[in-house]
Amino acid sequence: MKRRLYIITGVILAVVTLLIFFGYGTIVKPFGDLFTLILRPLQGKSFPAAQAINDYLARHDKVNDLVAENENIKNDLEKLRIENSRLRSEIKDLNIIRDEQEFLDNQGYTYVTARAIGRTSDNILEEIIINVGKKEGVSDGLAVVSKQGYLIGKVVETRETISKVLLITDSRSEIAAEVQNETGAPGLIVSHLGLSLIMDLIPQNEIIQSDQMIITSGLESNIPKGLVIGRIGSVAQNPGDIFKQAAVITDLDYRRIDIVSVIIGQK
Amino acid sequence: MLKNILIFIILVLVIFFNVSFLSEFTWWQQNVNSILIIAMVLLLAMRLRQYLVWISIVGLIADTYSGFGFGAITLSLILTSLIAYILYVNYFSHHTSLVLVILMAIQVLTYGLLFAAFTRLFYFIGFNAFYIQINSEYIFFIARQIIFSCFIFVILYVFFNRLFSNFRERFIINR
Repeated sequence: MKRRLYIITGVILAVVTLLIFFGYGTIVKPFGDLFTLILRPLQGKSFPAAQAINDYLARHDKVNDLVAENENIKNDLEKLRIENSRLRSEIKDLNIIRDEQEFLDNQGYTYVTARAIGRTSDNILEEIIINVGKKEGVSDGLAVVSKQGYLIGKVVETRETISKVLLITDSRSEIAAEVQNETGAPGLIVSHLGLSLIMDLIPQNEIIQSDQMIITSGLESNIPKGLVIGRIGSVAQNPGDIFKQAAVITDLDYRRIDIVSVIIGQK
Repeated sequence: MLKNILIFIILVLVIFFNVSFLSEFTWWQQNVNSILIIAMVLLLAMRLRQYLVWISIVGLIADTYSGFGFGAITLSLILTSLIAYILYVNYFSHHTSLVLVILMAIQVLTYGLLFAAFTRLFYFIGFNAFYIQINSEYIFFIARQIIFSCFIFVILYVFFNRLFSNFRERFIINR
């Protein structure tokens, strides 16, 4: 009985290990690509349905909180409008308030529009699955923006028909960014406990203020400069430290991502 | 043959449902390990060879949608299932409901640790850019999964084993 157990387990483990390490490209991957191609239309229906149910449940949950949140959103919108007027005159080629296609076309980006169709099955990474892949020209490392023009993440794995996007709210994500102040203060956008974003490694001598916009710095090869990440909330600094940190505020809900654009390149 | 096709379709639909529907609900995504619930059901309903083959297939399908290196879920699942089978057949011979819940808890803990180990291995050999760090946050994550996965499993167990008498004989096979 034990011998049978060991033999069966050993054979199965050996086959799976050989498939994983030596047969991935020739045997497993084509089946996986065919599999995802077949399931992609179903995922395109079920994920938005789940989002709709989630939205319905959230809407009916706390009415009072919604009323207060609505007031805060109105105030934030007014501040953003004022911010928008100020920044339009300062920044040459950047359109702050952008509809998805208008912004990307103005910047001369070639892009692919995609829909989120799921989240990864490991339950650990903050990754979404989108319904475009190598066939549409997507490759690893490309920037992904939301419909408001905010950077939401980058492509980390591409298959023929789907791609996986690591959100910037994941604790493993790091994005090179800069503050839109006079000197373009550099920093690194990282996730704080998977719940919020902070801008780390800002040199102590840089002068930054709340509500200044944070954009990508263009230091990463496939992520163009100028994609909006958020704005500075509070600044945490200790005179004895070399760097300081800033909380990043964004109006984007990273749990409600549906339509995105993958920036392929520049025209 | 037809039975195997049906089982394959059911497993694919369950994983698809987990990736493209249940994952949108944060509570479920953070606190319930659907793959191990499937593994537990297969443990109770199948004999050894069938069990390990179907576990491998579930792992390979789940790995298609995993953010970590391909194979981490499959290998973790096979080893976890093997440990669960050995415990179930040799040590938890009473096969009571409490034993099943304890077995579920052991599976979640074992899988969590093995998965972290495999992601670290795959990171080391260059298969993947990420790995899981076993810190207090991850331990709490496993602890939450143990509690809520067992809870969901108990609900499913009661539903299938108590309410449907024609499932009662099939849901736990005699060994």
